[in-house]
Amino acid sequence: MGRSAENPAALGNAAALPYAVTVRGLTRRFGDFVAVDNISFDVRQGEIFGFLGANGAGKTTTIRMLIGLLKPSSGSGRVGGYDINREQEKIKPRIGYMSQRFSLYDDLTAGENLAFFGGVYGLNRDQVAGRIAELDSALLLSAIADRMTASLPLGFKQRLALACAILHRPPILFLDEPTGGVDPIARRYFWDLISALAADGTTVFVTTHYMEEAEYCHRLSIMYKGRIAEVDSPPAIKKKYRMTSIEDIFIHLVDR
Amino acid sequence: MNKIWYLVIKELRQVMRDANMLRVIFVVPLIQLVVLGYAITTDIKNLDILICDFDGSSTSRELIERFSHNEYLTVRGAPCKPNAVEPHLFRGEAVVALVIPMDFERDLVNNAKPEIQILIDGQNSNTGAVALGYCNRILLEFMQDVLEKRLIRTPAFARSIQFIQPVSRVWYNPELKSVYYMIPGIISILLTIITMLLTSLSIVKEKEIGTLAQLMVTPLTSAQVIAGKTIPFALLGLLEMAIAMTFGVLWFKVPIVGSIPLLAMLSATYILTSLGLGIFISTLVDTQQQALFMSWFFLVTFILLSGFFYPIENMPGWVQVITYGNPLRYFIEILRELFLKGAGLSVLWGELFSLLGMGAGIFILATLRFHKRTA
Repeated sequence: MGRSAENPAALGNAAALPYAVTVRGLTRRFGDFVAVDNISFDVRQGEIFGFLGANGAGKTTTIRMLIGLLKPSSGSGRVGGYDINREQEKIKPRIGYMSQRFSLYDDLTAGENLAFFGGVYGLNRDQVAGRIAELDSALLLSAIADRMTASLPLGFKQRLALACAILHRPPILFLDEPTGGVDPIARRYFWDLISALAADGTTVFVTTHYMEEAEYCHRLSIMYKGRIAEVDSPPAIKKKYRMTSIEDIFIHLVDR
Repeated sequence: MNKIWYLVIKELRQVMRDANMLRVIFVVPLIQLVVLGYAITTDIKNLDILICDFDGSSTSRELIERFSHNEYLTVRGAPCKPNAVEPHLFRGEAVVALVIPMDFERDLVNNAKPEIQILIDGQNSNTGAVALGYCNRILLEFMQDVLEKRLIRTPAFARSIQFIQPVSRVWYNPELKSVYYMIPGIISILLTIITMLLTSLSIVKEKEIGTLAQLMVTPLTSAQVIAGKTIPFALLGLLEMAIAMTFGVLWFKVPIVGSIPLLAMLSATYILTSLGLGIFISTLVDTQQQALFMSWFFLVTFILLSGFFYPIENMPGWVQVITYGNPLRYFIEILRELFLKGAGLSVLWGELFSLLGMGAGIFILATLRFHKRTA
């Protein structure tokens, strides 16, 4: 299992591409309902790309198609240089994913969860320990390593989930509403981490419906009813609509 | 392989931490084994029989005497009035009623076709048939004795007439103890529950809490995820089987004549089929409730069509054909043959290959259905 192709450090080719994610005409239907309607966008290498939208706008469905959990109805896309329709298994070692719902094992300790997900990504015990030490200053993992995951406060759970998603140093990180239900301080803390990851070259694809979080993103895509209403950097969007808050722009676009 | 190991460890850890799960796996089956071991018996004893003697002769009393001395029947007296019997049967005070008519003795002596009425409560057809069998046997013995007595009074040549004396020997279970027959069956059912139900529940639980999706975005292959789910439950199943068997041998004194390694090997084959079904079920449903219902459906069908309670030979031809697709049928056969007869592979290879074929088939089907990506 320790083949070099699965070792994220050896992904030189993917890292050389200008875009970490490219999507063209991506569509997903559930029966008659069109959850994602012919969307296209590009995410640059090392960028924090925000997916902004109301509940049910199609953010999660889009992520699920990009990470290989859901088959697109039509359209194409590439993640880390691999086709989302045909090469989804090649995408998987190169991405980290933190789902909307907390989905680690409650009946394992934090340390056991880390060892498990590390192991599943091909890291041995020592490598996991090394990564935990590296991430410790930012995520304070050693303090909670022996605690049962179920007993952790939500903010800690979120940090643990992020740690599990980045143990294997994925070049691309997908975060689906990572800060839902977390207090503003923990949320601020979390975003500092995301910014640090991006500064180190990790591409971060993040969905949110907290408007103030939009400001942390390098570029934003505002999604409404399965379509992308606007894509640009927050200052450019504000300039275009001549409004000072993303929230106002969002409401303006959705109300239109 | 290494990655499967991580999955197995994780699964076993979760089971060991869940007190409820441990109870379900280890305590509940032992309770079931004890209770069912005593409760499920095909021995029919202490049947209440009502005897209405309108004759009141020495012959009729002699006949009643024979019924009283039968260990399987308990004679209840009844008032000798016309139509007095039916209400007793109706109220369930007796399963069987014998009515000896007036002039029974006289007709017997005069060769005037003496008659005896036997009334059976047929609600439980099995008990009824067994009761009828007991009555017929007693009456037959009685008639034979009557005949012998008469022959004594006839010329010598008649005395040379011989009756056939059946000499029967019961093999493999000389005391015809139904518990010997039942314990292997109960063990097989417990094993099915552990492997099929727990596997499907454990996978569907991960679907519900979202960890399965988290596993699906890792580089793990479907086969690795399935192996990681089956190996722990196969181990638990074998452990459970060993405990239940030890218990059956020590408590119920069920003999194990056959080879233990062969038993372990054949059980492992059965577990494969049962686990495969568990995974297959998990690919069909989204919630633990649905998984439970679906497993229940398979379990009840398997048990009823396994020959555990009802002999397969008694089923209509087309149902018998269906039972060939029932893995439990083969496993119960294997257990009984191994426990009581000590049969070897030379006898059981058919069952072995049927189970292997079914196990491989259901595993392939389950793996094909177990998609990492939703269509």
